[in-house]
This record gives sequence, C-alpha cells and structure tokens, in this order.
Amino acid sequence: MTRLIMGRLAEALAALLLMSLAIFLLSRVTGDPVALLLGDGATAEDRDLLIAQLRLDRPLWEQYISFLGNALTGDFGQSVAAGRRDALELVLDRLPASLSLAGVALGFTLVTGIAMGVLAAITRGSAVDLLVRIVALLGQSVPAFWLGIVLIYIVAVQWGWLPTSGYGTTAHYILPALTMGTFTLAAVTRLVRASMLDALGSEYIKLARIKGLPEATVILKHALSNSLIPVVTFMGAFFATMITGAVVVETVFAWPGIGRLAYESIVSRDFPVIQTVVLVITASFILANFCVDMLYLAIDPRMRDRG
Amino acid sequence: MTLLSIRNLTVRLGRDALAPTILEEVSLDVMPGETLGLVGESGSGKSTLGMSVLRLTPPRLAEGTSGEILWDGRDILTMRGRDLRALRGAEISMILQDPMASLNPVFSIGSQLTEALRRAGRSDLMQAAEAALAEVRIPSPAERLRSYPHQMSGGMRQRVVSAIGLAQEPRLIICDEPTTALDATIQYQFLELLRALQGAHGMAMLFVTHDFGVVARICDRVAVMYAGRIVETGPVREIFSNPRHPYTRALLAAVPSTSTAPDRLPVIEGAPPSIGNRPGGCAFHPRCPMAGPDCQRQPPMERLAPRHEAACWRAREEAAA
Repeated sequence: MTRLIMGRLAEALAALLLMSLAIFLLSRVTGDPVALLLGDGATAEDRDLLIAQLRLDRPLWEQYISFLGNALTGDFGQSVAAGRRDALELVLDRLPASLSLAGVALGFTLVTGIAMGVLAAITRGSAVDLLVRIVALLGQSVPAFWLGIVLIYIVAVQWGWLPTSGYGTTAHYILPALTMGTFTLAAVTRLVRASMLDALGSEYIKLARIKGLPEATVILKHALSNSLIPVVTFMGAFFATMITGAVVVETVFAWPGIGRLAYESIVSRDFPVIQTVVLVITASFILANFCVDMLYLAIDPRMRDRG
Repeated sequence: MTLLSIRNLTVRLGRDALAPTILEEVSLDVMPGETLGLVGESGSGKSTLGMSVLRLTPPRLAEGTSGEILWDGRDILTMRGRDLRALRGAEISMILQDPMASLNPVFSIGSQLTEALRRAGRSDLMQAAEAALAEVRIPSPAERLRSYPHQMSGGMRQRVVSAIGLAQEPRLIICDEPTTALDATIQYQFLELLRALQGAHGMAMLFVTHDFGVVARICDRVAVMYAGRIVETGPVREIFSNPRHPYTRALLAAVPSTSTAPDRLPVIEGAPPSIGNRPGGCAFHPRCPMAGPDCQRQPPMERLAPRHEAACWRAREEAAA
C-alpha cells in the first residue's frame, strides 16, 4: 500500500512538472512579452536592456530552468495590468473565494445527487424515478451561463429573494453554487442510480436480505457503499468540471475568485497572471486527483491489495 | 409434523393470469431435520421455488405468486416487513450458488458475519464469529475475520457464506446449488461439511441441484421438477431403484457412471421447453419415449407407495425398451 501511495505521489509530481513545461512553452509562443511590458513609446535600447534583464537572450532550456527555479520560490513575475502586483499574490488573494464556492457546490452536488440517485433506484419505474431522470437529463443539457442568467432574472430580479451577484453573505452562495453544481448534480444522480440498480440486483444484497437485515441497512449500508465507488472514481472529473465552470459562473455572478481573474487577465492580456492561474488550477486539479486515489484506497479494500 | 408446507404454489411472470408461468401448482412438504433434494434442469423453476420461500423473488415474480407457503401454520406469502425479517435468517436461511458474488466486497468477513450474529442476540460477537468460522473449518479463524472476500478462495468463501447462513440457528436452510461453482474435490469436502453441520444443528435442508450424484450423497428424499412442476417425489433409495416417471428415468440414465465409461455421454433427446412455450398436457410428452394420446392431458400426482408419488399416466407401467 505504501508503494501504491508513493507511486501516485510520484505521478502527481511528474504531472506538475510536465504542466510547468507546457505553460512555459505556451507563454513563449503566444506573443512577445517585451513588447507587452514596454508599451508603445520604448526605444531599441530599452528593449535590449529588458531582454537582458529578463534573460530572454539565453537558450530556451536555460530560460526554463530559471522559470522553474523562480516558480519554486513562488516568483511567477508581476501582473502587467494590476499595477505590477506580484502575480502569485494576486491569485492567492482570490483563491479562497473560488475554493469556498466550489466546495459548497461540490457538497450540495454530492449530497443531493446521491440522495436523488438512491431514491430513483429504489423506486425504479415509478413516477418519482421518471421525474428524477427527467431532471437529471435537463441538468446535463443546460449550459451553465444560460442557467446562471435565468436564475438571476427569475429568483433575484423578479422575485427579489436572493442577491443578483457579488460576494459576502451566505445568500450570495446559493445561486452561483446552484449554477456551478447543476451539471455535476445530474451526472452524480445518473451514476448513483445506475450503480445502485447494479448493486441491488447483486447476490450480496440477496445475502444481506437472507440474514434478515432491515431494508434501510440493506440499501444504505450494503448497496450504497458499493455504489459510491464509481462516484469516487469520477470525483476528479467532477472537480475539473467545476473549476472550468468557475470561469463562466464567477464572471456571470461577479464572484471575486480565480475564475473571474482568469477571464479578466485574458481580456487585458495579462500573461503572468494567466500563467499563474493556470498553474494554480492545474496544481489543485492534481491534488484533487491524488485525494481521490487516497479516498479510493479507503473505501475499496480490493484496491489496498494492489501494487 | 410438517416444518414447511408449500401448497399449490404458482409463480407467473407478472400479475396477468395469462402471463407465462415459472412454477405451476407446486406442492411440497419438508419435515423437521430431513434433507429434501430438489432436482431439475436449468429453467425448471427449482431456484425460483427456493427464492419464493424467503420471498426473495424479483418484484415481477412476486406479483405473480399465488398459493400458500405455510411455516408454523402461518402463510409466508402474506407476511409483512417485520414478520418476514424475523423469519429470514433466524427461522429459514439460505446458501447461494455463487460464492464469488454473494459476499459484499467492501466489508470484512467479520463485519458480515457479526451482522447475522448480532441479530441472533449474541453479545460476545467477536468470539462467536471466531467460533462460527471454526465450525465451518476455516483455518486460523481469528485472522480470517479481518480478511476481505477477495482475499479468499471460492471454497473458503462458500464456507463463510455457510457460517453466515447458520449464524442464527435456523430450522431450515435452503441450499441453491451451493457446490456448482466449486471444483470437484472442493465440492465433495463442502458436501461432507454441510452434512456434518446439519447433523450438529438438527436443521432441515432443502437442497436445490441438477446433480443426482449430489442427491445420492446428501439427501433423504428427492423431488424431481420438470418445466415448473414436480413430476415425482420419494425417498432417495426408492427413486434410484424404482423411478416411475420417464423423466426421472431419463435423468438417472444420464448420470455418467465411472464403471462403464461409455464412448458417448448419455443424453435426453430434445431440449427442455422454454418458459412461456411449454407444451400442453404433460410438458414432458414431446421428449418422452412412452408418450401416448392421453399425455395431452395433465396427469395428476398419484400415490404409488406410501411415500412415493409421480405425475404420469404411465407411472405403473414398465419402461419402454
């Protein structure tokens, strides 16, 4: 088991290293950073000076090593647009807002999705099952930006129940979390329904009933514990959907997180900030996947005996 | 004193009276402490019969079930939640066919075993679980309690399933082809174990199988099923020496014998009818060497000797050559 964990850790680090290389190369081919930094009024001398200062006259591999060295010490350069602020600091400032929103959305999604999936599976073929399946299908078909705008229009503007946008109170979380979680909610529901139906038809459920266990124990302990394995498998993908969704949702709801920061810095061609956002998102994605692997080990004893 | 009495049990594929039947008018008694073998080909309805006793058939079959299954004078088919749960495991238990699939992969052996023991009111759960594993002759039972199903072989898992089945000291245990998935040598060991356990616990056993060899080894009495009906019942010795139904005769003739070693394995000509496509009258008549015009009508169950019954118009005749 220790070997398995070490292996996963090594894979995570390798992925991160590979990603840093991709980001470095992309930042070198998507434009001239010198022109961007100097602006229109610069002379050729200013230009040469800056190139030497940024070590852009060195070979590419040397540049990458120094990029990596800087990144390791937390130096991702300065923002071009936001008054030369430190890029990493700018991103880290925005990170808590994004993490709390994604956390709320993921929590709401898992709890509601698992409950709806279990409900649909145990009432298979009934009106409840049909309703859950229709809602799930709609949830996976509706684009987040549209849903966000419609929710703002109806719930916030027409009914006035919740704030239209912004950040601060608990009420501010509801609409963006709903928008962010809907696609995943639908996916979790369908996944849990399908795997619950599988589990409920299995021999070990028969044996649990033969023992005379109460139906609640049969369903919530014996069937659900097995049905959660595929949910855990997909959790990394769900998290990725949420993070990518954050760019849209945070922009629609004026949420001060890294998603909106990504959007703003793309609009203002603020390359150091874009790079940093991408790297932070990648790192959190790799971290999430690592956590999923560890969770897997915790719930499935068959995994613990591998490798 | 009958322990379990099945009366006119009919199981259809759904509520509709015209829906195809899986079991037709099955009546069967199990006496305390006896081992009754239920023999038939796949699709004859023998597993459905076992499942019906514990009300574990899928919803569509449950809807299409009629008749009576009497236990202590109460009809299991009309029991509701709490009574049914009090019956399952504690009064009637079951060993399933596939040991690879019948244990929950995410819980330890100990956890799955103590669930059953807890229901039996045991307080010293871990000790009781260890003793239960020792009784089914699992080596180093204390360590095995912490194992997970995937860490054990098929034979060992089937022993665990048996220990779970016996944990609440049931008066009847239904075995649904428990040896089919096991290797031949393991099969033999497992049957010996079952017989020893039955003797020690004094319970009755309903043994569902397609294998007359297994019947000879373990059963006191046997009921032969064909196309959803019981066609012959009697003491094992009597059925082996004097089978009266042509189907029973054909089944016995199809058991390969090690002493004669034929070039070709004997078979019953034709195939068993599929559900919903059963011939009228005696369902066996299209394959029967003795069939005549009267076989278009369903023969009644007829008593041929005090404990020997068969449903065949030709039951009193000798076999056709």
